[in-house]
Amino acid sequence: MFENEYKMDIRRYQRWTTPIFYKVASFWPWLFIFVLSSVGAFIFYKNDLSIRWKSLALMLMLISVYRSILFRPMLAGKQFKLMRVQKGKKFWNCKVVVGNTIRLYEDGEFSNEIFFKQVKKFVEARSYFDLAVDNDFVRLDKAGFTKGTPEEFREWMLKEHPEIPYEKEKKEFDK
Amino acid sequence: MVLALQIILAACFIGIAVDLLIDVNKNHKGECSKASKKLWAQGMIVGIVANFLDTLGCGSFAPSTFMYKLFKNVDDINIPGTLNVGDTFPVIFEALIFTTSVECEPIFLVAMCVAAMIGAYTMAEIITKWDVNQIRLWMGCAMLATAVVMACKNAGVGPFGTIGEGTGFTVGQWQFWVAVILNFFWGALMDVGFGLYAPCMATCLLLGCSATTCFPVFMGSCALLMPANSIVFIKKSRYDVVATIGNMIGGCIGVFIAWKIVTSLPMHVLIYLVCVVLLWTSYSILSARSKDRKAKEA
Repeated sequence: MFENEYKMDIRRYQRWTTPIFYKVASFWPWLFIFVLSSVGAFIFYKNDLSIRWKSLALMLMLISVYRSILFRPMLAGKQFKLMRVQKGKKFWNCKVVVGNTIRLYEDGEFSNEIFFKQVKKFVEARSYFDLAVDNDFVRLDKAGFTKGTPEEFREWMLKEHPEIPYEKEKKEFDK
Repeated sequence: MVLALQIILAACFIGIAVDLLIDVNKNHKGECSKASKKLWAQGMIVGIVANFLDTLGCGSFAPSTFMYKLFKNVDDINIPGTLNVGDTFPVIFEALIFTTSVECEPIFLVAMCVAAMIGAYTMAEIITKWDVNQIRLWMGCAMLATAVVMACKNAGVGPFGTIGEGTGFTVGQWQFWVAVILNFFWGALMDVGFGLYAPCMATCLLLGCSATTCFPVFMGSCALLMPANSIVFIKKSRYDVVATIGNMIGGCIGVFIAWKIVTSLPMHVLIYLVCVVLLWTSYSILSARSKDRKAKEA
């Protein structure tokens, strides 16, 4: 049996749900737009062109920075803030107990039980393991094992549940 | 050189919207080819009408929902996602054509958009704890008062002065900061379902901007805020793909027609049109409050 515990707060949520921005494929077109609009803004201001074009260049600069870097952390932060409102607390302690089933606890109280037949994928990143269940996932922090170790857990999963495909996390999320 | 750069920048702006269209089509190719011509036509009609009204400042969610229910072409559960994803494309298009066709101080425009964006992010937690009906009451009355003041200004009646003709404000002006702070709150109110168009329009007009200058400001703010909602729906796939694409394409046609009208109207007629929009917004906010209170009492 393995036990994994961690504190779920806004920083962890943002770190875990936000990709590394420069590793996302769409970052490069946005960077191109940013460079182009910066050059455009410089030239439009230098030639004192109509303010319409200055506005367009500045808006494109803003949109490219927002969409490529700020958008995902802000969206994750907003999602977490709304979760905080629903739960009525700033953060909560998560505990995952893996044995014959996967039992989830929140602040010491039982919250859900998942069966291994529901698990679609076993994903490993540098700092966590994911057990993908339908459109959701159960996450175990590699630094949060209170019973067992990350290496033992990986070996156990591969040996006991070979039917669950094992994958490395996508590079933009591999933190 | 300058012209080439202008064309490329306009193309980039359109590229942002096209990217959304590709995303939708990629995930739901089969559904597009199976759909009947009638479904496509209905999707386009909803897009044209709703986004025509949206460009005038009336908002598109209410008319779209009404038409989806009338045509029965979208399941109720898919309506919120369809509205969010489908309307993002025309809103970006709106922002593009109004930014390039209407004079608005660039720094003012960007500051207003940033303020709305930060407001929607930082206030999400606080605003959801507020009493929505109380906000509805204040907002409804404020919109009503603004409509009356603007109509009086336009007619030259009463002590309110005349209509402003400014293209925005500079950092040194107090109006700049008042507008930015208020847009921060209008952005925050979007988290609990209030549209930004009417209050943002009212703010700019009351502070002395010309009626046309308001358009790129509120459209730019929404172009940044709306995709934040859409991505969630794109990932969850809870939207009707035919209605969404119909809304995207038809929406651009509706926006174009409305843009032609808005930019060709004499200023005093446009101000009266804005007053009608403010009155409509006031009515819809206050009636939503009344319905909600009755539902709670029942």
